[in-house]
Amino acid sequence: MSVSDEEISRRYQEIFGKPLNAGRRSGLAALLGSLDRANDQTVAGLTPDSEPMGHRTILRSPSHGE
Amino acid sequence: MANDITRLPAAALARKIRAKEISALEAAEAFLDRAEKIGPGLNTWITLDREGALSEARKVDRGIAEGSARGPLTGVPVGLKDLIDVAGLRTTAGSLIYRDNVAAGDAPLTRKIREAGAVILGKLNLQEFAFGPSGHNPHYGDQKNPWDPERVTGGSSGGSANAVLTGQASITIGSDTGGSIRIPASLCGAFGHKPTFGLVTKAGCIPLSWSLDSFGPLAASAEDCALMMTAIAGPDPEDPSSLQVEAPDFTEALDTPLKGVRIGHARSYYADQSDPAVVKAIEETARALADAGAQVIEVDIPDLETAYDTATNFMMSEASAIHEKDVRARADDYDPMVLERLLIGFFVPATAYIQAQRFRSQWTARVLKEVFGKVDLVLAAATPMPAPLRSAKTVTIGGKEYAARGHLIALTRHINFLGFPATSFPAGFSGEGLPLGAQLIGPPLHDHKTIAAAHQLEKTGAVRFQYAPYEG
Repeated sequence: MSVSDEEISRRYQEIFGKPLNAGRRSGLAALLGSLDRANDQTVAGLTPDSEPMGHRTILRSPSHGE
Repeated sequence: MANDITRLPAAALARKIRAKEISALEAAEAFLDRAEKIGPGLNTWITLDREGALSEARKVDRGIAEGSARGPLTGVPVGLKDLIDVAGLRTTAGSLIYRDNVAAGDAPLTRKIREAGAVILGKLNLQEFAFGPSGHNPHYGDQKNPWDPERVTGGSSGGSANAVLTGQASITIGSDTGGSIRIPASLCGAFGHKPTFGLVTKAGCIPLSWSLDSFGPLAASAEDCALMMTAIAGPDPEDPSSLQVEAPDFTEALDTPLKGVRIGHARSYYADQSDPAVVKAIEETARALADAGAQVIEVDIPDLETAYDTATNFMMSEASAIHEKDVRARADDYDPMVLERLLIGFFVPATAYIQAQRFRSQWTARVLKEVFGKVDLVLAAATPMPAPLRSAKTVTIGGKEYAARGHLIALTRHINFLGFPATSFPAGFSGEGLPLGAQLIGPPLHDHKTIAAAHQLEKTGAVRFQYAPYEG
């Protein structure tokens, strides 16, 4: 998931049509780095049977906690 | 001084209107007068609809005279967060981008509120696109805390909270994607209920995150939350996220005693990162629950840090997808703070979003088993601190420095990721006279139980709503 400085600048220019200054790029890179590490932790803890759409099914049952 | 009518909680007001002690028109006029007097100083409203509200109130009075008005909110003046469509009024989402966006019809949520007999006063101010926890808004003004206007209301439903606390609306609707009902309720001293995800329709409302948004009440009592939930909960064919389950009976459940209810005090969820006044307040709430007969035990919620960070990836992705077109075309019209947050989602890859969804299912199942397998409800603080100054960049708690705005969301975002219901309620005041807030969290579709437990605490006198003394 890690994004290089060049990629951040390129993508920013593409979305906003203007260049990203160095200060903001460095702040954004730090934030993205921390989200990247969060994703690594998430992936490390996933079990093979966890599916993306399982959450809705869990919510539908009114018997939780009974 | 506020008119006595504007000091009546919604349930009491509806009873008086049905009994013809007060007319719906008198009630609407009293709240509108108050809103016009007090609202501008607190930046409460974006649109106040005097003409529409008075016309609606006259209709309610005719219904009462004919014997056909029986809704739980008969004649009650309500304010709606300005994300929710009301026919003929603009839905701005607190933005410049939707400044002239006039709704062609009512959102299903608005229809349900009208069907319950309520009178809609207008549209309440919020943080732009509901994307932030402070109530900051450069376009329509920062929502101000009625206990100290130099402080934040909390957000994003800041207008929804300060309206209730100053008697500008008897009850209001907010939305909660990462805490946006519970944070302002806590910082301003209101009751607030974030429903189980999908229990209340969000069709016709401007989204922030399709998978996390919930709409619910901010109110002067738990009973008022129950009344509003009675009006708005239940399936809606127009909302693809709507749960196809019947809503529980919220008002009947209010009488459920606390005796024997198992409460998990999640001290490890909040204590280390919370102001000592908050910790003391929640400990007192735990004691009050035990005194009322609940069994209070300590519980730990697993994997909190991963859940918070994963929820961030998840929410940013959805918010950026929702805003992609407008961000590309009109970036300069966004609040720079909101734009900064929206930018993040453009860099989260699809794989991270999908892994976040997988984690969500897995973590939710784990919390249900490991926490709600042992207890019925979980008690925690709603915010880790009282309202910070609007100018504050950081706050220091226990020798550690936190971002003043970012830290407001520390105890709420997890619950949206779970999709579980949570009722926040007043938990006394700090030494500086600022409100503190607690929350009771339940498993899915146990909304009636979190509201009922807060109601029972009110009955013991341990929890007490107080109107703010602000007079402009």
